[in-house]
Amino acid sequence: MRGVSKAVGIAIVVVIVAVIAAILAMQGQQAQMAAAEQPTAPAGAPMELKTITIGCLVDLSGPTSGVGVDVSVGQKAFVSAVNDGKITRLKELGYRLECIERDFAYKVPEAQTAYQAFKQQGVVMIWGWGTGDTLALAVDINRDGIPYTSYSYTVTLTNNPYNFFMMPTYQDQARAAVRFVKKYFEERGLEPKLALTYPNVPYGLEPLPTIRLEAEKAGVAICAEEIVELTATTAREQLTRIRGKCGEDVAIWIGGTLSSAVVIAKSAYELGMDRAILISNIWGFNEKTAKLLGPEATQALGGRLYRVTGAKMWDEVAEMDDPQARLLVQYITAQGVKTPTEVMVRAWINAYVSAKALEYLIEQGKEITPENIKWAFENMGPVETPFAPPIQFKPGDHRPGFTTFVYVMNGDGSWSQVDTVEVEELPLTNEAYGLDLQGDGVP
Amino acid sequence: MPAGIFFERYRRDMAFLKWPIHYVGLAIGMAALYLWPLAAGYDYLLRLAIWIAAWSMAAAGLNVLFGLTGQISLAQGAFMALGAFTSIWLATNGVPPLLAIPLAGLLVTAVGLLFGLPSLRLKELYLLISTLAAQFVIDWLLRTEGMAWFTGGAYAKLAPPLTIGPITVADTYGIYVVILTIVVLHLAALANIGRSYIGRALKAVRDRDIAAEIIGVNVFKYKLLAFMISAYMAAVGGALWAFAVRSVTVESFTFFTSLEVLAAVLIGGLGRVVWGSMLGTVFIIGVPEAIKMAFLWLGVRGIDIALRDAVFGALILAFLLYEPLGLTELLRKIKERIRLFPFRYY
Repeated sequence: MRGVSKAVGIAIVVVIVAVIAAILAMQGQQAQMAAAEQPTAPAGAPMELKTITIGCLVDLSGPTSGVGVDVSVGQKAFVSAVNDGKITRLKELGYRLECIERDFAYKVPEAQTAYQAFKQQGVVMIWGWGTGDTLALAVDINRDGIPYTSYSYTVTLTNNPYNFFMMPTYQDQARAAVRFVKKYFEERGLEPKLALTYPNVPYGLEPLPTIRLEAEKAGVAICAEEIVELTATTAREQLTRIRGKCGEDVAIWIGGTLSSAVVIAKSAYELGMDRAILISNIWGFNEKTAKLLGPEATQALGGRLYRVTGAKMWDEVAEMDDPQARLLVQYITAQGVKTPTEVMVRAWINAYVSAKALEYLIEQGKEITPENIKWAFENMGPVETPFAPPIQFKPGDHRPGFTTFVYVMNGDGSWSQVDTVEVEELPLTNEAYGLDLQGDGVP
Repeated sequence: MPAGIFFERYRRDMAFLKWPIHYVGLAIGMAALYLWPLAAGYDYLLRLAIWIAAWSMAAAGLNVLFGLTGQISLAQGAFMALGAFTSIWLATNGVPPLLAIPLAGLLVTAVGLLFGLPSLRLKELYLLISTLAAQFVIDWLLRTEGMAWFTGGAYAKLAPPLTIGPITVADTYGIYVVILTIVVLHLAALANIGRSYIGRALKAVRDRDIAAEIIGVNVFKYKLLAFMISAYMAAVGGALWAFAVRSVTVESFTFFTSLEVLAAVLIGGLGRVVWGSMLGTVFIIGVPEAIKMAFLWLGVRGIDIALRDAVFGALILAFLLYEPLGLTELLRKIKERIRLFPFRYY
């Protein structure tokens, strides 16, 4: 036994020493690579392609990995398509993309450490992830001037010089949701009432002041507010209180992610709230909802589950008669995805707009540097895709657009677009959005 | 200790540094800790080192509480968050950062004291659950809209730059040196606790609290003291991280942080306050990072996440099965083997 113990001990020490040596060796190698201007071409490439290195910070094993994996799939699919020369002119111009993917498991300190690794690896921009990493890294990216695209869509990021995202802000999407609710109830001759459910996390809380402001302006009564955490296993208690305060004809805003959205929907079904509608934010319901609800609840809730988003959902994309849509479907399905989602479409859009910025930069004869990429984002004009309204950034105002799609889940679990809501461009001020847009300021 | 040698004075007998090799080892060790970045000072490695340093503070605090006093806690993450936000709040209100860091620690100590109160009545799993409640209550409170003035709410809370008098420490190496110095000073202080009357009282409480009470140890006082030390160390660790990265959010320190810290203590060596906590933290943070980088370097794609988790899990399991006393014990055995080479005790 002692012999085994010693052998294991020695093996552990050897493994630790080996991996530390590997890190140090890699550090040296990467530093050399970063210093070298011309990277290697991929095997079998007919011409010497220059590599544009992008840091891809993803959550593949943490609490948001449910959608983080989809983002990874979408981004990787797009990079493959670019490197195959199927989309954008980057390959034709002599460039290939390399996405250095790092799983940070949604641990903020790990993201802050990964950022330093990216910098060392010479990335020119970062495709980041959610609220946690994006907010925490704002200091670093502004200091170092590295563009950072994210899937956190809060308006508070839009005046940061190096933060970009491709969907309407959470706040503008929520405004669209309030308007849709008003229209929905008015068409039925009912008084518009909205109950808010949200998790007690920054992402759930961020849109609330704007929703309250918009509801007041639109004449939609906010009749209840309830916290439903992201890890909730039931929401019957909260929904019972909502029913008591708001009655049967009420719209319920869902500010959480898929699992908590499904929990709320299931609870509404179990409580027999047959006249209530549920409208979720962009990270709430998606193509996986029906599978999680089960056939009976899906059938019963069909026509009453809504979601707001800035991108077309998979069912629609899969049927589009468009070359880019066919390419997207081809490259995503090639990765062996069983349930493709709109999140993958959004990841594709994120990568596409970034690639268009790079393409614009090269066509303008400018060097590919982080600062020039920021310039390209802000000056290339609107970028059009078949999957989303045109996306355009302005210096000092990185809100990409103001058009929101509203989708409804059908009784068979498929999704159909029911409305397109275009909200007016608000001034980027605290008063307009009802929240402090400056925070501690940009360092 | 070489056979047949004894000291005539307690001072020499209790000294940390007894033999020339200790002095040489300390000199080389400290020089290596402070100077390695000059040889391989990549920002990534430096930030990794700062991360380990900050977390090892929290682990050392927990080791005093758990390892020395036998009181388990799962609230270190919450205390780190409180320390980070309090120090930033103090610094933005005019307190110099170097003073704000320990001051935040002291303020958070009061919270630690509060959550230590149930320890008089609760033990083991029940105490664990009460500290878990502390973790979730503090975490929940920090996330509420009403606390946005303190935590930044929908923003990261930005820390002012680290300053020493008129000097602003801006580069990563400078920050590393300052943080390392603070950590070394705190760990040196903690190293003495176990050898003092306080340490003996804490160990008495750990080994048998009723017996400790009978021989005159004020059990409640020492339990609370351990909770306070633990909260203080975690808070200072959180504050150090805040000033190192200059931005923290309510998602920076979570329940998983508490788990990481607990795992570091268990793997490093329960009751081995300095070495156990440090080595455990290096293991918990450094090994997954190293595995990740090694797979990246080797070009392993697709199965790297599963492999990383499997390798890391296997390593932890191997420790629990074959070396439950932790890394410090493993290193001690190696040291003894080398010292007696080619002979052995058994």
